[in-house]
Amino acid sequence: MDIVNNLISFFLLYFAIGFLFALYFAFKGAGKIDEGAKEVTLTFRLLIFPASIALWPFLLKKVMTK
Amino acid sequence: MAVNYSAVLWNRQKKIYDRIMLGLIGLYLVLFILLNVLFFPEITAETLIIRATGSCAIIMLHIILLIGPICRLNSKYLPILYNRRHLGVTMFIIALIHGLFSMIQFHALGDMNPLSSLFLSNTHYGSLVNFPFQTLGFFALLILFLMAATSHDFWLNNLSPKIWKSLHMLVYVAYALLIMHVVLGVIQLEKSSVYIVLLGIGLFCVIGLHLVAAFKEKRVEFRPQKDSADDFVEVCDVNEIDENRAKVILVGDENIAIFKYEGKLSAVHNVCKHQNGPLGEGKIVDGCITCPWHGYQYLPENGQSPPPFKEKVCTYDLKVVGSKVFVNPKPHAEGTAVEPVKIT
Ligand code: HEM
Ligand code: FES
Repeated sequence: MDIVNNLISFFLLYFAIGFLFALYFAFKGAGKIDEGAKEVTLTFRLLIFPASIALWPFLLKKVMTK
Repeated sequence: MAVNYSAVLWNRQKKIYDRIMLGLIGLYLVLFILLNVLFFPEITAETLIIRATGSCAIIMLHIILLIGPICRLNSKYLPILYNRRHLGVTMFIIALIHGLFSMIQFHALGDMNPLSSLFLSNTHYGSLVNFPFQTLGFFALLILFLMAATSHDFWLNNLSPKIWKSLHMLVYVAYALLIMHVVLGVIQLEKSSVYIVLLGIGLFCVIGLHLVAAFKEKRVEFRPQKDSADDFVEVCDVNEIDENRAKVILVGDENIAIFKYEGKLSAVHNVCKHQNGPLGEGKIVDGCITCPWHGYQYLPENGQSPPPFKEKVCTYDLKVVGSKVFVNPKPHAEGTAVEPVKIT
């Protein structure tokens, strides 16, 4: 029981951090790692938003090393 | 492709595709709901939505999984493959509605948080008949989410094609989870066995067609490269290649597509720069080799994508002696112009 609840808390925390990161990444960070994503529409930014939440540790590493 | 990203690259063909897709989905949902209301008047609206969207999503998943092998067996169906991405994202959205309504209906009304309730309200994890089948749906939905969310080319480029491809291969894991989700769910809710029979047919088609297509792919011709002074290797008779189509040949490690168009022959590397699609299974459209998977284009005479795009593939030297086609398997640098060989 506790294990399951802890895992769920972890899952929610992961997505909460991801959400904050995605705010940064979709509007700024993406342009840093990819020239083609510098001047793009709002729709494009919203389109990459969900995956920015889900993949935040990977993307954070990419932005940091750029 | 190396220009600024846009949200969706829509063209006329894709718009027609999307309209047909949405029309058919609408038709299915309306028919499903009407028939159910007619035959089971006591059914609640929530249950109806859950069942209509769940069944619609699983049908779409079957279509998505079947398109690949069907197109490899018969290139006539390539237009369906061309926009499979929109089909996938739409399927996810419909599955999401099913999942959300199920969560609300079964897990949001108690005092537990919905996710805890999903995993803990039924704990017969050791039982087959009473297994908490909804958790399987949850994990499948998570995979479908990852795939839909990363379907834009931005992710393909920035996650690297290799990671992206592995991520999207997870669709088979999701499929397996969903088969269990439906089978165990139906057993538990003692619903009609029609579901199981239909699912069995679907599973049979998916496995069968994948095997047949894999078997057919193995039969690409293979010529070991001999190291004589003349490096050209005989391929086939000119007449064996159809107009605007290609003959694919493996020479040593080189995977080569030889295209015939407007009385000429040109050879390029058979691997698309986008996602390693098989260029040789595509057609020449508007003078360009068009990848069968997502439509990237290359000029046959130099392997370059027409501007403003910047993709390039290797080219090869060809010659024709009598009616026999020969290719030199030593590749030129990507994008090197090679004079097409005239055929008479
Ligand atoms: C959080 C994720 C999910 C939950 C909580 C969930 C829950 C349920 C429930 C409660 C049922 C039984 C409904 C009934 O007949 O009364 C069901 C059935 C079904 N589910 Fe899911 N599901 C999830 C994800 C999915 C996904 C991703 C798919 C397919 C893409 C799917 C496809 C189906 C199908 C085909 C059925 C059987 C037909 C039907 O009764 O609707 N489910 N699911
Ligand atoms: S693999 Fe996507 S267009 Fe060729």
